[in-house]
Amino acid sequence: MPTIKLQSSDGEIFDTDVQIAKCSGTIKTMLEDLGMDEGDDEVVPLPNVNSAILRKVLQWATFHKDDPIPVEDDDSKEKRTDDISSWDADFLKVDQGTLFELILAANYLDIKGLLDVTCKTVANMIKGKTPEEIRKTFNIKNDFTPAEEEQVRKENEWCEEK
Amino acid sequence: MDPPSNKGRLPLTNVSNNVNQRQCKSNVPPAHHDPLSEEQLKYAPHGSEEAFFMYRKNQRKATYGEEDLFSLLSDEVLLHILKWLPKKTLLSCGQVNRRFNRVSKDETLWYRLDLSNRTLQFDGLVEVLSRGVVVLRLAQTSIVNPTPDSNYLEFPACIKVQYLDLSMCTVSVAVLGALLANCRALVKLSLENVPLDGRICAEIAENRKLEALNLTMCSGIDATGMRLMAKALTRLHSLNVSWTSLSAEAVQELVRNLTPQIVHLNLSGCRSTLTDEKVAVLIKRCTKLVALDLSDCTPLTEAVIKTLCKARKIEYLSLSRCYNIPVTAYLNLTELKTLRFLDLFGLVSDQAIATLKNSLVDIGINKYYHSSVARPTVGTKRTSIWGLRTRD
Repeated sequence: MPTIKLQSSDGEIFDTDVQIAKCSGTIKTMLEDLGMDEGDDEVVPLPNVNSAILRKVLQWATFHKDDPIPVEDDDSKEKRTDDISSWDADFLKVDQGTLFELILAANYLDIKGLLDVTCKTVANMIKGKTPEEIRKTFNIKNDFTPAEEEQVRKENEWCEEK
Repeated sequence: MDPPSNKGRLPLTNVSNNVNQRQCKSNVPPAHHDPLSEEQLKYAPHGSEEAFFMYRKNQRKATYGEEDLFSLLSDEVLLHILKWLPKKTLLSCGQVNRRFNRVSKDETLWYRLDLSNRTLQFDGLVEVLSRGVVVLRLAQTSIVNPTPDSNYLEFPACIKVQYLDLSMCTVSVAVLGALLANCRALVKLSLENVPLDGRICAEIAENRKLEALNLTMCSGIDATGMRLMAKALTRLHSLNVSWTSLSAEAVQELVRNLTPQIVHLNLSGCRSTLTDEKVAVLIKRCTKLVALDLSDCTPLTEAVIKTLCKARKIEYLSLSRCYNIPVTAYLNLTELKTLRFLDLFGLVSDQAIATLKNSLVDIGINKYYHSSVARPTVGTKRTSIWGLRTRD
């Protein structure tokens, strides 16, 4: 199995199956555009991902390496957040900081499956909460003035059940 | 695995594409550890609740001044999270802070919306429309008239909605007129059982892209309104004006001016105003008709059968309760070679139906109780309108 070397922001080198590395659109494009051939001993630098997160990402990619190639967003398909596999759910039982770093890494590396599942996980943490509960959960500061707060309350509270 | 989103091509509207600066630094900031992670709890002093809370308090204090984790994410990624949320939570998100407010209003999040069977404040309707909703279901919704202190009848200048279901909606003529006055992008519209007036008909006529229009059981369609709609709506594919108490003049305007592009037409319930002559004008003009419902048009006689046999493409025909057509006349429909389904409810005896079935081979008789012409919700799919989902 051909491998390539990925280098995390803190300098750690990860010998990785090419097939697994190419699960990242960013790495795939890099290899293709730069004409980096398998077997070259070149190192792919990933300055936006530290070793702890890269290790997690590669763990995820290894487990999902045989998944079908993700298709573009299908608008006719319902958006569900209750379809996270148990392996992914266990994999994402991490602290908030790690979860958000995984989102950043999935976005930077362009790994659609990982980006979706991490974003869905955060969405599930938001779902059903009041504005104040959302702020508390994520330590978000309310930067509305009292007048603005009244205004946004109005523009977001207009629909009652019959 | 879910099809991942097309994040690079999201039609972002009011969000910036700029990735947060911190994301671009060569070193990602170290993970923010959950203060209560297992590892740390193990070393936290045990046995004393006070110590436990002290520990938490200190941690909170230490991180208090820091940015929240969402500030690490670009608007684009925040949008990617918000898109998984139900509309109700999205409205909560709009009240979290300024940034959440801005991103939660992105029109990609509000493409489709189902507010059926609810009470909707006038300001709410304005808010929904200003968020750029395209597929909107307001079936059986009560739209509350604006209060004097709200912006009276002021709708966004350019409403983007294309598929609008107002079936059985409670809405005043004034509000509906003002709403439709700012709608020019409509492709499919249902106003089933909603009171209309001349102005509303004129505004409907201005939606030149309309392909399907369901006005069944509407009141207030006069001859002028009918002429405006029939003449202007040249792309109309499906039209349902059944049971709208059309005057003889209104029916005349319809058959003389309706677009030859029409494929599905329901004119049932013209109990005294649709005559054989008018059907002849219609059939001559509209040669692409595939489905035609003329049930409960009592003035029709045997002559209409001859006319219908001249049609080129009719596959579905309803003549239910057209009491002045003799049963034997239907046998002549064998000349209408394209015909596949014929509905004759409430008209002839079971025995006569059996005879017709024997004579009209390959034609299904009395298969459809309800007309589906231009109607948004038919069959079991109750939350889709014209086959388009209204919920995410």
